[in-house]
Amino acid sequence: MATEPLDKVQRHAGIDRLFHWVTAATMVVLLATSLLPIIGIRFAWVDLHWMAGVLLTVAIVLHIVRATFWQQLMVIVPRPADLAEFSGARPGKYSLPQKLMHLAWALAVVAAAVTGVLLMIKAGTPFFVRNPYVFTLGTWGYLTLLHDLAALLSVFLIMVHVYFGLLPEKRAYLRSMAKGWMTRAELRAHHRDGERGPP
Amino acid sequence: MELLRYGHDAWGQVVINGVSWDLLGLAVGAGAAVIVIHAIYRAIGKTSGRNRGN
Repeated sequence: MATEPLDKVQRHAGIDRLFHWVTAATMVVLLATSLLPIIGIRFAWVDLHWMAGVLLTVAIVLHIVRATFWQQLMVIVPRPADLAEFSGARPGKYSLPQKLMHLAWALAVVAAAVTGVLLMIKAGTPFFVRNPYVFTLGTWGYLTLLHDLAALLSVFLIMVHVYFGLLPEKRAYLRSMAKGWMTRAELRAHHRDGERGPP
Repeated sequence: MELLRYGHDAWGQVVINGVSWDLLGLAVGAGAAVIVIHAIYRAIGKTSGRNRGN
């Protein structure tokens, strides 16, 4: 574990922080461009929506590749052993609530990205020649249904994620996602030291 | 409250168009509920913690 001056411990590498904030920015753009017209704020949203979607999809693919081959993928996967946290055991790098939040985000974002890429064929973009006849109307409907459900789940997750991220007692996590580090005291207060996984 | 949006295909058959946007309020409400419940739980925990300290 690399210790920096002032007893700082790196928690998130720059590339992972960049991924987090690119994801956050694109999710805000995607939800704003898709949901504002629904509540009556009308503007030309389609191009902005698919461009943000493509950026998010590229970021997700890079994140999956990095997490699979350069990081310890299991560090973020919920396991039965995590239930020991209810009896006071300290977690490794990520607590059970953090793992569940990541899992929920993964479901929402992957579902939105996969269905979004397919829906781009229907909408027509520079990447795909518009062809609404690839699928039946019913299949397009189910793809849109999944895309919509992912959007609704994302609305819920953004609210909860931002709320917990801004709580004073979680400030160290917010700082670590901005600057990359926690102090060793903050790490020891909430996690098993030495089991934080790779930054 | 509708759960889904429906349309019709060329043969007049009903097809699903997506989720009913009535559910947007439900998603926002669920998020707000989690926040409010946790804020109350947190406030109660702080109060009882202070009382134990006295």
